[in-house]
Amino acid sequence: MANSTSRALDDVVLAELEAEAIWAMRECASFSNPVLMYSIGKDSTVLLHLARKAFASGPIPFPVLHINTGWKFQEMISFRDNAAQELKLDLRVHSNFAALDEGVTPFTHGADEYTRIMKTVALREALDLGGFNLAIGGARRDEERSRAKERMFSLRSAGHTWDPRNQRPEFWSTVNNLLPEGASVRAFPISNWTELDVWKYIRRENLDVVPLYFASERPTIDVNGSLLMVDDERLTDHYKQEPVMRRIRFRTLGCYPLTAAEESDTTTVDEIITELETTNRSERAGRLIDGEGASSMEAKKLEGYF
Amino acid sequence: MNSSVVFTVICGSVDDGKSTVLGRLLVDSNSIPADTLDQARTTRRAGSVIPVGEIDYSLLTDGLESEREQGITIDVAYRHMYLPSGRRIIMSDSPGHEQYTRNMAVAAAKAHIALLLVDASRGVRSQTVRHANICGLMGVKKIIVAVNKMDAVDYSEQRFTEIVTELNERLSSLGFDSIEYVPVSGLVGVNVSTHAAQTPWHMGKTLVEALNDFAEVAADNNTQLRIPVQAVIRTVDNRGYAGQVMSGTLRIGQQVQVWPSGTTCTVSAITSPTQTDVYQSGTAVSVEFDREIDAARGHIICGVDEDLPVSRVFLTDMIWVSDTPQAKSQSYILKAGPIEVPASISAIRYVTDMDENEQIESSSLSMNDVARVEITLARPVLLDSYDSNRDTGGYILCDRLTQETVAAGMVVRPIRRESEVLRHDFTVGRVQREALAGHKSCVLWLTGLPSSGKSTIADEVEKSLHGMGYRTIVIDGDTVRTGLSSDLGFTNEDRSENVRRVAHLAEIVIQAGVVAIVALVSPIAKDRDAARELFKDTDFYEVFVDTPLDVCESRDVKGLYARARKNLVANMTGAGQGYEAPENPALRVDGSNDLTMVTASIVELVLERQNHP
Repeated sequence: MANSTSRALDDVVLAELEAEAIWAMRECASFSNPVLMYSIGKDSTVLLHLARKAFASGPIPFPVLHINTGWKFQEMISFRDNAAQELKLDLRVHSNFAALDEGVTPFTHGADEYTRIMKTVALREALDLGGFNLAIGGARRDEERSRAKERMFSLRSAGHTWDPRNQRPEFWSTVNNLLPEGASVRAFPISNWTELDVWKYIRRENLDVVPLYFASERPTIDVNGSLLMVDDERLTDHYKQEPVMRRIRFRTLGCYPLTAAEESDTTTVDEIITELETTNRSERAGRLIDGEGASSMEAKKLEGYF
Repeated sequence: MNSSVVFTVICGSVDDGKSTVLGRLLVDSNSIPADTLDQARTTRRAGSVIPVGEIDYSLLTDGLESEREQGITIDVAYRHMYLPSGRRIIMSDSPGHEQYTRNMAVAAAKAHIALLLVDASRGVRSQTVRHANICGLMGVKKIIVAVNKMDAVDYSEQRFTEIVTELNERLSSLGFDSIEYVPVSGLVGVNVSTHAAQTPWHMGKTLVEALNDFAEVAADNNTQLRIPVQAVIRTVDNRGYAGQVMSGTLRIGQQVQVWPSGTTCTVSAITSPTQTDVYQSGTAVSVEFDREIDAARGHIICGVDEDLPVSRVFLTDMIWVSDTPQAKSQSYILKAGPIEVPASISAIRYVTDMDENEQIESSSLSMNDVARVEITLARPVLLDSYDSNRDTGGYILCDRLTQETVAAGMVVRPIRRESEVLRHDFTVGRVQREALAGHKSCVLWLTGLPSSGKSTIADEVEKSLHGMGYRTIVIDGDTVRTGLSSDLGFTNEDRSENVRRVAHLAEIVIQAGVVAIVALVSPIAKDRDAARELFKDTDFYEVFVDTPLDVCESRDVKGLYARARKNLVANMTGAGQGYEAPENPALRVDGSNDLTMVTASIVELVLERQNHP
């Protein structure tokens, strides 16, 4: 897909998308208690960079929140902590501790229920605890078809539910930042970016991303055709498989038992861009959770998932 | 603003095949991933006649579960499409059902190009005209009409010409600069991306060619500088005023004025993602000045030699987007970018019947109504004409209670520029009139339950002030009801309107240099707040006549309480309807206390007023 375009046009498009995202970031700051959701992936990296640019040369005027499911790759966690230190972020980390105590895992509860408990419920808890009425996320309209329907500033009623049939109308550069009691907003400053835009921006701005995006020899197991990377013994214990070294990389990063890797020799951002310009698979194909039910992303979003 | 990502709204009546044409466009332009295409080959919605194995194009575009279930589009979907030129179009697929018209307006508001579908066999429908109207209203200048389902009319040139002729007449008055007609079949793939053998008589463009040509955006020639300030950034040694250049250009060393203060200053530094010499429209900037200025979110950095369109009253077009109808005299919050100001719709000139394109009279607005109205703001605000700039000339109205967006407005022009008013007032203004009177004027707003003693107190206060040489007038609720507001009843809506009229009357009175003593129940806090917003702080004093309910009941001058007990008077404040006591009045008096003392304390407010400018 995504025809290769000239660098000159790319630069113009990126500048426009960047300006739009910075405008959105600044509108986010007009809400009384905003927070930036940080999931450590490429989109979050771009989001964080845009937030810094929007408020340069002052600090980012809101905290950064990471929902930790306990099943994130170790490389992601150390990347997060480095970023927090280097950029002097006000980093908050939240988990669904009650569920962790009860031993909820992707294996015991199934991917769908696990995601609901450890991500959706944890996110709702964290937003309620912090009293946040606006959460900035890195979702893009090209990712998935229910996301194509989303406003840039998307209202959630008290209880964090999304009513896609009755979304707040959005006009020009005017954001309605008035909220009914208990309601909150999910803001998506990079709504109009594509996956390719994200990588081209990472190249242009020379941003560091988690090394898992680049191919390397890593221990893996093959589960029904999906390559899972062995990050600790919890995975091999469960599947009772011996890890095999394969040269793999990730196109998207989620919880490691739920995110499939692909065999690849792609080791640089330039090569990722070339790969995307020539491949023809949708980005979230590697997310095992999206497949359940014909429109499971929408079902999750109705409950408060990003 | 300049843009190379071009938004296109795809619209038309329900079942005219929007999703299929869009799906075809996306597939033909190679904009859909292979695995998503596979899904569209295998999944089928109820009633689908498309054989499994072929692509159901509509499945590529309807994203919500309920949409797929019902086979309709409810809300706008945004999808990327790549043109032969390498340019990118974001296609906004918008609903055809009349009940979702507001979602269609959302898509049109952002669009540079409209792609309007017409079913060749059914011809022009009322929704077709409605959508064309809304595109025109929302400022879309280029429109491509795809006459779809040509396969169903045997690719008849005559049928195509009939539709072109009929539509051309209707479209000509809607302000489009360019119109292109293309006969297509989304189902068969005729004239979507390649010229088809089925229509040898069609010498014009394919859909993709038409989009490609229209996507070449002309340079923005609006030279008036506008940077609405979104946020103030405290840097180490200065302040950065952050916003987007909405029109005009900016460079270091440039002299600018900041609205509303009018301060003129020089740009000393600009922070932007891309450093350059001249910052064009569409750029995000943070601007620093050569000296400290008083500016905040909602202020606007403007060109220095411009006569700014600042006014309290604007003529605007409007589309009502809420289930709750507009209530006469209700005050809303207007937002235009970062600007926020209380506003009301002071007159409805007409509502446009979108199907017939006729203007009809109406006293209120409801869902999907398109109207030309006058809006009145609580203070003068800078709003450009929507024609010159969608971002600084478009606004929304928000409901104060539900916080919902109830309307989107497009400014036509200020009805009375503030600069003109100032010039006019220069000869004889409030200042001159007050000088002649020898004192400054203000409003004393006495609110309280019926029979709390407001009129009696107003009378005493006036006597006392009059004796000291003050020019005064009492505006009494009962008197107003017999004249100015004789057409109003006692519903909440009518009470609001009554309060609004009295407030404006009081405003005229103090312009005349006269002290206005208002004695009005005005039970609803929101209405009193709206009244207060007409005035500056030192001109308006809310006096809460807080007389105990049992005293009011025992006085019961008009027998209202007695009748309320017998349920004879509906909506009677105190008994049948809640009185919302002021939380923070300038003064609270008890009407059962000594009248002389009460009067003295109120008169004191007027005396104190004399110490302020």
